[in-house]
Amino acid sequence: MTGQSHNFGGINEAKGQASAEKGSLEVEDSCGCGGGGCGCGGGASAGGDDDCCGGGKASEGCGCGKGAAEREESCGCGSKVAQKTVAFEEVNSKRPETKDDPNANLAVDPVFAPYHRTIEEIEKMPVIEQTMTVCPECKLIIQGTIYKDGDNVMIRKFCPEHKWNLEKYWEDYDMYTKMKRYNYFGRGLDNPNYLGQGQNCPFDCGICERHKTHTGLANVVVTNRCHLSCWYCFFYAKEGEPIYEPTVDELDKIFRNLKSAKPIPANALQITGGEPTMHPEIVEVIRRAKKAGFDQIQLNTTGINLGFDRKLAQGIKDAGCGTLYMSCDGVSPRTNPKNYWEVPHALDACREAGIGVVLVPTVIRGINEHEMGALIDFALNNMDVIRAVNFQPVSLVGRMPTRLREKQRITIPGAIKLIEQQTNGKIRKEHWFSVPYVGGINKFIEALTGEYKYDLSIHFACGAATYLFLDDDNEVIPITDFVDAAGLVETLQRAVDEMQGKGRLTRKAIAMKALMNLPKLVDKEKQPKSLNFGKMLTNIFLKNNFDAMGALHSKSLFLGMMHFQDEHTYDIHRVEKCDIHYAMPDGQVLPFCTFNVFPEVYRDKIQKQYSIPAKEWAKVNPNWNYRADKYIRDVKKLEQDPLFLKTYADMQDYFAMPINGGKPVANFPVFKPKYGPTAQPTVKPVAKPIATPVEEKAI
Amino acid sequence: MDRRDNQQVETTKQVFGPQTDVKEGEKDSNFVEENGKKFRMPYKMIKKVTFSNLDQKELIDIPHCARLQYRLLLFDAVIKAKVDYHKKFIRIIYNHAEADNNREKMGRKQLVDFMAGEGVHVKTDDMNMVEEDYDYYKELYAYAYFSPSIREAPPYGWTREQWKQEKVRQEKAKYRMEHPTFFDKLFGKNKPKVKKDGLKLHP
Repeated sequence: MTGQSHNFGGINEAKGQASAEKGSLEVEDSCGCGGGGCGCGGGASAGGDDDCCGGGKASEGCGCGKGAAEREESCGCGSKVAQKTVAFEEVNSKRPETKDDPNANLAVDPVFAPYHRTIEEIEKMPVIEQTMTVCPECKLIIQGTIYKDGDNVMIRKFCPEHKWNLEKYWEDYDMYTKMKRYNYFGRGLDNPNYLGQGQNCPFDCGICERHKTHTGLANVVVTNRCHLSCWYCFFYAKEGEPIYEPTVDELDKIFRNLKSAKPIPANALQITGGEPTMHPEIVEVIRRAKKAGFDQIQLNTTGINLGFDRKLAQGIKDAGCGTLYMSCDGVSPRTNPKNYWEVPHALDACREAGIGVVLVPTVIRGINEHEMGALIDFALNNMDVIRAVNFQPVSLVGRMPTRLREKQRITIPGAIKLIEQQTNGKIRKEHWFSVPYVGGINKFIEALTGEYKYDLSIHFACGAATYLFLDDDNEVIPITDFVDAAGLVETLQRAVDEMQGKGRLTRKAIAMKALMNLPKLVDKEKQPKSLNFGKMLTNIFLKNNFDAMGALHSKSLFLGMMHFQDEHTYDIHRVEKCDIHYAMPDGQVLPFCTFNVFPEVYRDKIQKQYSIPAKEWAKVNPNWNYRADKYIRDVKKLEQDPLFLKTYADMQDYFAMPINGGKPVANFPVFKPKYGPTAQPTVKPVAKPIATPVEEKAI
Repeated sequence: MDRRDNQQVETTKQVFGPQTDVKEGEKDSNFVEENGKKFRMPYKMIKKVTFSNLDQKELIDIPHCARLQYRLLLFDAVIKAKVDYHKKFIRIIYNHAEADNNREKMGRKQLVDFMAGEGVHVKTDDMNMVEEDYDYYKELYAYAYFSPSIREAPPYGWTREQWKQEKVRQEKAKYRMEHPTFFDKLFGKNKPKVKKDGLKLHP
């Protein structure tokens, strides 16, 4: 499971961190996360270094270059117990620390100021709207006031017991008003899975008749076993915890349940975990999902198992999985300790098998927010296999110190503004649209044909997206540079309003009139040379042919933002419009932000009911043991791999080209190999430089 | 029993009539069998207790009812809970102490004491409390997996009346596509414009 949210509930901070720091040798200097254990596996393994071989690179574990089992037997350092402890927990198992600047004046700092005002000041701020939310402490449903504080949109709430709570809701007021324009109420299910009117929402979930969207993306957990032990993840079974791993038949039943939803059955499925590739019958699971009728099947994985098992990659592709939803938090070991070394292998395996990849970075302020531009650059370098980058601003679930929460909080516009800075203004905030924007197009087709269409009517604050095109001359062109996106939806919406109550023929006439206007919304001068966008629109609307949409995807890079909620940002209006659902083994379907924000009454509770105690699991699976499940990384070997060098050392900084602003992307990976042949970062010459005389001078 | 309960009974009968003959003792008690396939089933016969005629002042308001519901759900043995402010009742589906499974269990008294601790004093006499057996499989699991339609929303841009007519037209067209006449086959004419997989158009 990718790190969509971070749980600070049950992590031992002090002692673990101390030992991690003690042993963080090579990692510490490159950590950049404010000191301390770097979270890239240095923690546990570094501790092991001290106890074990007395040196070596932290992330390698004990540095002897052997797997856990081998080490245990033959390391010869005489501390088997210590090695045994570190071996299976070393990858990404320690949380990085951030340090406070004691001299910082938080009331002035633009990032923190909204948190440090008096209540009198806050109450004078202009109120945007009222909503319902929960008290993060006692879960009492209370009123939330969304208000404007300078450029920020904040949410404040008052619990009679736990007093005030403030949180950033949206870090740009202009974007908030722009995105809100596309908000609309969709349809819930005609056959909700749970009886109830949702009076006590969000504690009545299942899904009930109050819910206002159908399932857009269905998540199905196939196992809670994972080969990593990430410090922030709460999706995997720790040692001794019950194992949740439904059988193929049980999963098949869940898939069919999702397909039986009315009026619009789920059509996109994300198979998730734990690490889903650890399900022994993952290929068969995907095959069953395909057979159940899902057109789009994604596998939410670290990519590690697929990277090293090409047969498995081909198997899942052949079974029907078209997309790998792969966690990738950055392009350096410090920001992406989870799978930095393995990403090249995963990408290559997908390239070979023909699977598209969506990179899924969880963005945390102070940890990896400085590498978003670099990640986009990385994706542009691998556009043959990477289809999208889906940024997920962190969801700070669970208890954590208030100051840390303030420091790490980032919202969709916050991330978008940083991307603008990091990409020389090539991808600006006006290029982004909220997800329900697409609803304008769906509604038009429904009104015209009378057929139900997939309806992305989620809350405007939940997600945003844009498309990038990489033109023949290497220019990066966001879609809204050549399409009047707002005008497009306004034109279609006017047509929908006009069609109300009309007969079929009149509807067609109205639609034709609207469609005639669409080409005017496309600037042919600015559109990528390899694309005829006007024709593609005509195909979609007139012929109902979405093949052209596929072509669009293949020539472009989709950039998405999806911000999941936590107790502090919780907004019940958002939850009741959520379309990312988890299908549970008891037949219930739960929105993402109830499933994960209240795990004690949903996720953990239901999964526990259908789990098998670890001891029983071990009896049924005699060859299984918790430690053997864990992945052991050999950094030395991985960094010497030609694929690794090719992927990271041979990259082109598109944003450093004059046509894209000319300024290198901040933190673009300057790879310095520690092993093997020296590879310098290269900036390839532009194939066909198109530069104005002024730019040429600048060069 | 409201409209949905009626539909539920029908659906359960239709779907599970011939399939729910798994007798205790014949099969592994942690599973049920449907069409020869085994499905993990953590509970079978559990209890549903409804406390009614509650004092609305004790319930305070809907947010406090929601919080009480949340707190009840924190018990592993409570499978579902409903605290209704307007109708002044609390309904709890829970794994009672004598249940035939190895999951966490609790007694009714524990529930009553807990609610008293939360400031809600329920009465346990026959007039104000009903406790009955609850078949987890048939009533909760089966409903979730085979939930009946309780409403019908028309597509955007269509009124309910228009949609009724349009739906009939689409159904006819679909039928004709699936069962083409001789002339349809011969000339390939009059092919309905509605695609068989109209809902799969999303890329």
